[in-house]
Amino acid sequence: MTEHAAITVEGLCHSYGSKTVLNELSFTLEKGKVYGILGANGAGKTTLINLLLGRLKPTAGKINILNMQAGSVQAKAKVGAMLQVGSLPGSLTVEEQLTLFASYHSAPLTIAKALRLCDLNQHRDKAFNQLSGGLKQRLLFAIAIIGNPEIVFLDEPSLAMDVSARKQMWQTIGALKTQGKTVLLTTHYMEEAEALSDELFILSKGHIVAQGSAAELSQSMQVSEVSFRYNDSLESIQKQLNKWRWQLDEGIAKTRCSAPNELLKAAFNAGLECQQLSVKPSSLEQTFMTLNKQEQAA
Amino acid sequence: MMNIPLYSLRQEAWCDLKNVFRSLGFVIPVLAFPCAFYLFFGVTMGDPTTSSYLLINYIIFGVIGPALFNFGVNVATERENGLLTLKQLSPMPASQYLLGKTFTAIVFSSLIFVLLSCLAVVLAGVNMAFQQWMLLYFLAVFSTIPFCMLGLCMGLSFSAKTAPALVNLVYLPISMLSGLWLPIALFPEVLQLLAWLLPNYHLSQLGLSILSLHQGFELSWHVIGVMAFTLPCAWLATKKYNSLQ
Repeated sequence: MTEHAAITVEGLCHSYGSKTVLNELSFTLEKGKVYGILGANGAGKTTLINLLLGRLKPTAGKINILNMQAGSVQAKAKVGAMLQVGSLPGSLTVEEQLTLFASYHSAPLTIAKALRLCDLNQHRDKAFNQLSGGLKQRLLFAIAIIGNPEIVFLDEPSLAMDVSARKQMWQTIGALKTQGKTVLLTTHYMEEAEALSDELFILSKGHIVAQGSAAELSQSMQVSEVSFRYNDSLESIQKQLNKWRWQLDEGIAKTRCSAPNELLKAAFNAGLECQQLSVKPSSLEQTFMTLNKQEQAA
Repeated sequence: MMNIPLYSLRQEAWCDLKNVFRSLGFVIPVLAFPCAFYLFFGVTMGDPTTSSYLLINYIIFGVIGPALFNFGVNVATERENGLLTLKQLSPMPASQYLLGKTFTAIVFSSLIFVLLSCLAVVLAGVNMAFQQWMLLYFLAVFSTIPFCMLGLCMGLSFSAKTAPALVNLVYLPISMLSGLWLPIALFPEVLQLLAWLLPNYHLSQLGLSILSLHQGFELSWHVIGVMAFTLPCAWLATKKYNSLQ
């Protein structure tokens, strides 16, 4: 394990009975970076987080967290987590909850700082039961970072958060990164994954099927989205450029193709003007969908 | 410099106590039930000796409730809603969570002791020496432990929906069968033998021995009886708790 590595995983496998959920995963997460895990439901994201937290024992393989064993007391002191399931004592206030969880750590953030980072200052005296779903998520996020951890695991952290709360949380995650903390998050929001992650892992059927920055993943697909203004019907463009599958949305014709030059040549040959022409690499969402489809078909 | 474990333990105990005290649905029945029973049977229907006898039995009956419910029901709920997981992910030792809950049960036991003792002295004319009151208080505190262990076993074994029903199913019958409501000598012989398996029978006998009102068996047998119940429960609870980690 190098000094820059926060987490090293080698040959990690996990099975529930005869069902293999994770198969031979190996990766290294560096300190001070934000990593995103994408995957369809059941891809193994939560299992992976639980293994890294030491809540599950791997069937095979090794996990090294800052040179410590996952789940050890020493590792727990350096790790913060926000899981999908997590509730707090209903009648304790936000401030009381943070004070309690801060007391578990030797060098926690101050309560004032945690409240400010998670924009909970005006709710500090409200009981957990009085909070909305989004505010509860913010408090759970605050609890994940109250111990001033080196590594933060966030399992679908922005679920039930409104747009402004989500943006606030993104800023806080950005601030954690600036402080040299490592963040590993799972999310179903592609926009979130793209905005926050330095590197993404796409998990399918227990394997990492792709790894890299959002831009690298999109480019790796070698698929582009081509669109231009088209004033006729969908049937008409489908007939003229029948090699591609077209969509027509408010006068904009769109398709995806691996060779945009060939498509544009065909369009000019057909006499189309192609106003408001746009050729973009495939979006992260499209990349994810395509990879997932390929993996399911395999 | 702040002593982190002690400060943390204090926070844990204080927060659990605050959380429980703010749930009136828990506080009122747990405190009112033994007081109402004692007022009805111990004060209005008893002479000072019967009132003293029933005071000891209702104190034992009273301390079972908060211990069983705070562990049995609250642990089941906290395990199911993920709070226990959040705590297990922190570097806090597991014992701290359990000590916090035990502290809450002991505070409730103390309150029940004080409330029932006040009723006994003021309304029923019960009179005991200071030493006897202190012995009874320590017994009340000690009596919470076996039921904390039993409650913990139940809280770690059953769902949040099932636990309250099962706790009630255990709480009321064992109170009756151990002679806390009626003198055990009135029971058929089989039931009297059955009572030997129940910790509250032994605790009641230990309490009654303070006023020489017990059945007359050697007290060490009652201590063994309590231990024989508590230690397996503690072993099972530890095993269950570790399997959750």
